[in-house]
Amino acid sequence: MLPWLCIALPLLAALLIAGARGVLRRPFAELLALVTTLVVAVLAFVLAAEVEDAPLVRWAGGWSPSQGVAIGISLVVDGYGAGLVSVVAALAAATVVYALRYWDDAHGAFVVLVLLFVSGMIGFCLTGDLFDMFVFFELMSVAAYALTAHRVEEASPITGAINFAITNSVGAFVLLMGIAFVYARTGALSLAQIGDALARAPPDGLVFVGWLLVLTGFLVKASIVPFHFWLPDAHAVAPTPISVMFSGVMVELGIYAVARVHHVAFARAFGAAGARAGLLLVAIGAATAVVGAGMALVQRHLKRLLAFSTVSHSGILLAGVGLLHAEALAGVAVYLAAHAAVKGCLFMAVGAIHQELGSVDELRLRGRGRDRPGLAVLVAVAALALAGCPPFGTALGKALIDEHATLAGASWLAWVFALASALTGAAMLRAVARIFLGRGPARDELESSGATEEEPPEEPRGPTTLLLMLAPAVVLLASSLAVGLVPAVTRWARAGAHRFVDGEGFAAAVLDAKPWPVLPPSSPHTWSAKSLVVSGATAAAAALLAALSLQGERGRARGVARAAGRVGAALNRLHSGQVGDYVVWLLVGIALYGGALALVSR
Amino acid sequence: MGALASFVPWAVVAWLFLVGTYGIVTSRNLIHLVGALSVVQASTYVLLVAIGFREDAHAPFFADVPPGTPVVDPIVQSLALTDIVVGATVYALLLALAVRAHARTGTLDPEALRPMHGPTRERE
Repeated sequence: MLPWLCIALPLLAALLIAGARGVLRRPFAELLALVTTLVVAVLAFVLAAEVEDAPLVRWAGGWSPSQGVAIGISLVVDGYGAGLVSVVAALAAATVVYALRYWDDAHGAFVVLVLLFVSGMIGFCLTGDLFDMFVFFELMSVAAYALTAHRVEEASPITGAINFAITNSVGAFVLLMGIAFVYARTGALSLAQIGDALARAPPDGLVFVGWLLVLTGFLVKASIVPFHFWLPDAHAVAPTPISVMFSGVMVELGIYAVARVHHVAFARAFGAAGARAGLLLVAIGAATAVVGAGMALVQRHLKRLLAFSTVSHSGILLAGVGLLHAEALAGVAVYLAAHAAVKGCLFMAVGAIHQELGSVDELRLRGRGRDRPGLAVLVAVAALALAGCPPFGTALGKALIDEHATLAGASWLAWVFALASALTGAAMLRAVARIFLGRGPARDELESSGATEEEPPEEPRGPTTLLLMLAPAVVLLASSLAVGLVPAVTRWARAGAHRFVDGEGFAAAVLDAKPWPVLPPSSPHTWSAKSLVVSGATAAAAALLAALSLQGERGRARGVARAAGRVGAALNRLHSGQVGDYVVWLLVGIALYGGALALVSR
Repeated sequence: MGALASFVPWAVVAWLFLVGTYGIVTSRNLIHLVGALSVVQASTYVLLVAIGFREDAHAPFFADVPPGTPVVDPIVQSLALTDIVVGATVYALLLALAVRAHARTGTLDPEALRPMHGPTRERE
């Protein structure tokens, strides 16, 4: 009953609020939304505790498997699924609080769409059926398109939403084609049954193509290079509370889907080739991390900056998943939760900057924040957390992934992560220094090629108090710290990871109702001196890079700054805002990764 | 004829996908863009139904034939129906956005409407 409630409650609340639009007063509607998201977050925690020994399996309409064939649609709740649902619901609750008096009455449909969005995401996390994943993928996507375009009085949100919609829809169709190919080979849509069916024979070309297309569909959602072009456009124009949810959980759901589908459906079939397929994922993730971080550094629009840092961190998550090991996956889970909280905090703070200081353009804001020390400290600490400063959860997650990468012989990955985190942290720290301390030149070669609006749209000013905006931001930042400090988190993450990578156990639990094999209890993480030094050094490097970047044309590294400016300008031109270009890049990406897959799997 | 005909559905899928994508890439009108997207989606319908096809099989209902008669796969047909519903939702939203964009800016040209480069931007 509980899993169904998690999906149904937000849906029912959305329908209730939409149906009673004339009757229900707005504060009551928002309160209902807040209560619903909090209730779902609590329910998900309860679920996570219940699934210690065996996953919770529910079959829709009572269509349980018979004679080894599973036709029904299953909900499978394991530790990670329930954990992700609670992260989604908690972030949604913070978003609703942030947006409590954000809009005037004209935008009453906002909470309805947010609840539909949340319902779609929760269904996506809990389902055990590949086509059902597609359905919830589209549900959450459509709600996301509508939410991006919410400020329909302006042109930019509409076109940003259209770009988002077209790119993600093509991605969804590619995903569907992959599902069709997998169905053609196995005759099954249930992940457990697909895994069993594929495991019977070594994979042939059709299975690889199916894997690639399904992967591509999810990577478009996860904004991995070169499928990432929609994210900066969507973020720049979406309302701030929506950006919180996009960067916090929606993008990460793509990564979760890649991991889930690979481990349950394809891992056993791939066998030895699986390690090489994983290496492909690691390479793609690493490339995305670096490109995203580099792009973040050359942005002047604060929300685009944060969007590119999301691209970069999504690459880090993908690389962690590509290591295909429980320890790395535990790091990914911890990093995901911590990053969602930090990114949410940063977006909320940027929204507060927009409201209080009047712009989101870093250059235009230069020095305007001089008399706001509280806001400055919040953004600076959050930027350091983004860069992976211990003891935040981001540092912990990265340390877990790095430790496993070193064991697996991929110690270069730790350097890539450090570089990406340092660059993204530096971009935000530079913004802090420029806005709140007035440092840096008024014109910046590096940044002026970044896109910006001449007149940034005013964030709607209901009688929003700064408190309503910043309280959830502070709570989120504190949660990120808690993720890093509470030892139970790593213990739980490790236990969940061992269950997650066990595709055979998953299939047995779903099809034959067998409980999981008993595992030794997981140990909490102990910080090694090396990890602490590396994390601290990354944060310090971020601060140093920020200072260097502020020197710009006048600094000692003049030549480097000018060259970087030219590269930045070229990259910014690539992000043209035209959806045709984005779709071409999508096809190029499929061809590239398909070719790479063919090479590594021979 | 059998060997030749058997690859026709897949060729149609590939053609629809490529033509639709070409339409999206070169489109100068938002309504046309949505139409091209629907052509791309049509390729998924054909793919799904073609996968479910069986030679000399009946349609998947048993009103006039005994149970146990070979029928084409009904599951992929229901997947295609779900796909159509999803498509209807997405296109309704996209077309509503296109109407809004035209009402706000007077143009439907994606190149003129690029977010953050669009008609709202003054020349510096």
